[in-house]
Amino acid sequence: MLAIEGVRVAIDGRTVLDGVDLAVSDGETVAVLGPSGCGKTTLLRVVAGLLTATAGRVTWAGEDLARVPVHRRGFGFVFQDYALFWERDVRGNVEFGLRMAGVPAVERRARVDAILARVGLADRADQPVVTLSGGEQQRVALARTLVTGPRLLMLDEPLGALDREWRMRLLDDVRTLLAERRLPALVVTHDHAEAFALADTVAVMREGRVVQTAAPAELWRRPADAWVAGFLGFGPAVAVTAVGGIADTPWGRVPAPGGLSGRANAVARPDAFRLDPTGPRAGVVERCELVGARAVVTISPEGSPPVRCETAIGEVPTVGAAVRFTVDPDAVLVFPAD
Amino acid sequence: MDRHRRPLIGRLGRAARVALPLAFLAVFFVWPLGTILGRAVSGAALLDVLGDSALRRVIAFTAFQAVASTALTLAVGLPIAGVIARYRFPGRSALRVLLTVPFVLPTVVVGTAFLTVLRPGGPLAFLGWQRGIGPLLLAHVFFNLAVVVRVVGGFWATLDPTREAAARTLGASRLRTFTGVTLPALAPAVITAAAIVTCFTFTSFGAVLILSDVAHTTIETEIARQVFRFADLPVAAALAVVQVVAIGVVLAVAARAQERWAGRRSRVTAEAAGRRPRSAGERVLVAAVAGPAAVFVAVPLAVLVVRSLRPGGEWSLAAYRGLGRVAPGPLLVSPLHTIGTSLAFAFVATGIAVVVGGTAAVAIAARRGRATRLMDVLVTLPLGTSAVTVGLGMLLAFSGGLLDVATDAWIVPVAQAVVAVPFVVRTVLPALRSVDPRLRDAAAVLGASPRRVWREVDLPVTARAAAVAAAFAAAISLGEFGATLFVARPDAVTMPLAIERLLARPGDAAAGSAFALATVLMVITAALVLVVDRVRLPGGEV
Repeated sequence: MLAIEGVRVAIDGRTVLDGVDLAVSDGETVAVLGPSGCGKTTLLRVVAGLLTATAGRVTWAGEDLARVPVHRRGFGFVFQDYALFWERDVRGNVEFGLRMAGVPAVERRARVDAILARVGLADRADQPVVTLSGGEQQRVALARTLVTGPRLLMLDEPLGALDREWRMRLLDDVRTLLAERRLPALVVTHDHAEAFALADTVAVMREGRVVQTAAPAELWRRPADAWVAGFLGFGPAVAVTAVGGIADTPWGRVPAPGGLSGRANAVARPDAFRLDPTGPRAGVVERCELVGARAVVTISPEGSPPVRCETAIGEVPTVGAAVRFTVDPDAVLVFPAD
Repeated sequence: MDRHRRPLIGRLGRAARVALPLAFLAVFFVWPLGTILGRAVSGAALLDVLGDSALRRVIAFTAFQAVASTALTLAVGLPIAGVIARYRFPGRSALRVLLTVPFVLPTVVVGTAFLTVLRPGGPLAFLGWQRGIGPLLLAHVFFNLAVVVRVVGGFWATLDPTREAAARTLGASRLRTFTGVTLPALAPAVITAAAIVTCFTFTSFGAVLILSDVAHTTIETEIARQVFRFADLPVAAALAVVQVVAIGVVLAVAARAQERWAGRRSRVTAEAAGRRPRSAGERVLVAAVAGPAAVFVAVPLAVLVVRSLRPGGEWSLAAYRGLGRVAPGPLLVSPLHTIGTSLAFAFVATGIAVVVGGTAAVAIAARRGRATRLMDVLVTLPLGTSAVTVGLGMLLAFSGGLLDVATDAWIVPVAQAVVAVPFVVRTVLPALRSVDPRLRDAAAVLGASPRRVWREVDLPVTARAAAVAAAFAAAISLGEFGATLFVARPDAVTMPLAIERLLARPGDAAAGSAFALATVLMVITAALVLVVDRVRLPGGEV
């Protein structure tokens, strides 16, 4: 329903968006994923109408939005730091959009109460927003946007500033809220876990361009290039040579895309290596780090670069021990060298 | 910046916001100033002034007393600022308000108050001081303490105290911590305060007129003397040019000093509430600073009130009853009549200043185009121009032409508004800038039209700032002396003019009337300050 076509934005002569194409269909959640400064937020501002594109267009159901001002677009926008109205209480914030729409007071009250109950803030209506915790403020921001019944929801780093516990709870909440309304959504984030958890489609942005648009599983399986792979958390690139579409990597012979010949880079997905006493490869344990309930073991095989593999905490070997491991050849990818 | 195009009406409104303040300041500030410059240059009056040894002495004394006043004010004000910024103690907020009162009090009232303190029967009569440099410096410290306490104290309170704690844990003594950590961090605020105080005392007029003697006159009083005693307008104009240039030099030096420190700005936290003094030493420090400060500010004001209530050594309201009478002398109307005149002028001047300064602030905050940048500079210039210069400029520019000070009484509130506009802008602008632009975005996304965004997001903040600005403007207008002196018609005398004329007349009855009138003026302006202090503003203060 939402289509972004060839959008370019230059601010003070600097190109921030360089021809972005993206679509959000009915009920779909699209995540725009990229490092900070890649133009994600700028893209949201263009869609919202807060910023005018230098070139290209944004359409909704085929209608060009260029002449539709911000307040008539009917798009919801949850800002990065929530942008709550500090001098108003929770109710004053949530009912703002309804007041703008001229909804009568009685109905306004009922709708605000309903949405506050839905986000679990029913008893906070008369509190000043400054007294709320970060997670609660985020919920107020969500409620404030959802209560007006937007036709598209935009979320800018929705979980960015929250602690771990709140992140998990809100992630679930946002997913449910979007699903039960079949509300199309555009989510901007720098965290791939967040993008994968929320989105049907992920668009990866780099320096003002969309470099890959794919479903999370597909993106994870086939990142478009070494940069995307690196951004998703693949291991460091290793220089290899490809001949006729086959590359010799430290972890075996792997197909190189497009019959590639010449210098290339090989990267391994984090799940490419597995500790296995009967595995074909051997190495010495260099380091062990705990990551939550799992551990990451760094192994130095003789004659090839170190590899990292995840394992259960109970199975962590001692540093310096000789271990064996297996390689999943499908999880080793080769890209042409830049 | 790249917002959607607004409809035609919006664009016209924006053009008006830029055009109105520019036009006002062009006619009532730039033109008069240009006229002064023309007069000063055409007859080589500037060279005459610089060649005249008596006038050179006046210029030198002006600079000397300004520097001395500034040094004294800093010496007295810094400890007070520190104690108020760092410690919580009973009466702290009352002391802060009390210290602010002199700043907005009319200079004439301050001068009169010190006169009552030093006169026979006053608490400092034993000093035996006649009018002269001593009383003048004392009054300048009294008048400008608020600048140091507000500017430096406000900054001091936002300095992160953990830096000092860090210095102490690294082995620095209390003294070393203060001189090595606190003082350098305070430098930008101290420079700002020093520059403001130097400008104010350099251009001080009412206090000099009342408290100084003939041997110690300043550029300002000399301008008045040249105009009213000798009718020598070119020399007056040349002196005004010297004044403007001198202030320009002070501000340039301050800016340079500010630049040197700009790179070393320390981290600033939200204003801390301060803490209770812990050790006995700290309690003694707080008491030794706060107590005398309160006495220093309160006593002259109290003595003024008492003297107005004891005209002949007996308690009575005679002085106040006498305000309704027209006494023989240069004052053609009754003192009571001047109260009405002052209030009427203040009402009009406040309206003009708030409309002109408010629209200028809105235009500057929006920051579109070259015209607004020009305006940003233009609205600040009257701050560096003394009231006497503004008044003299209007007298020279508006004589016998389309506008004439001899017939158009409304030029008085206009002149007062010119003096007040920079204060209005400096009050409203920070409030407008404190509005988080994302809140405007949020309101727009939630369905608020541009007009509605302004009403819901900007207006609540701006309205409070405008109320404070209006109170400031009213206080400035009521106490305005230098500019009013030059443009007021003899039948439209304001309270400060009347006080000065009553003081210049011999006799206890006239003095009693002056004290009573000064008390009335003080009560009105103090009430305005209290209003200002009640309204807390985001984005700092003047």
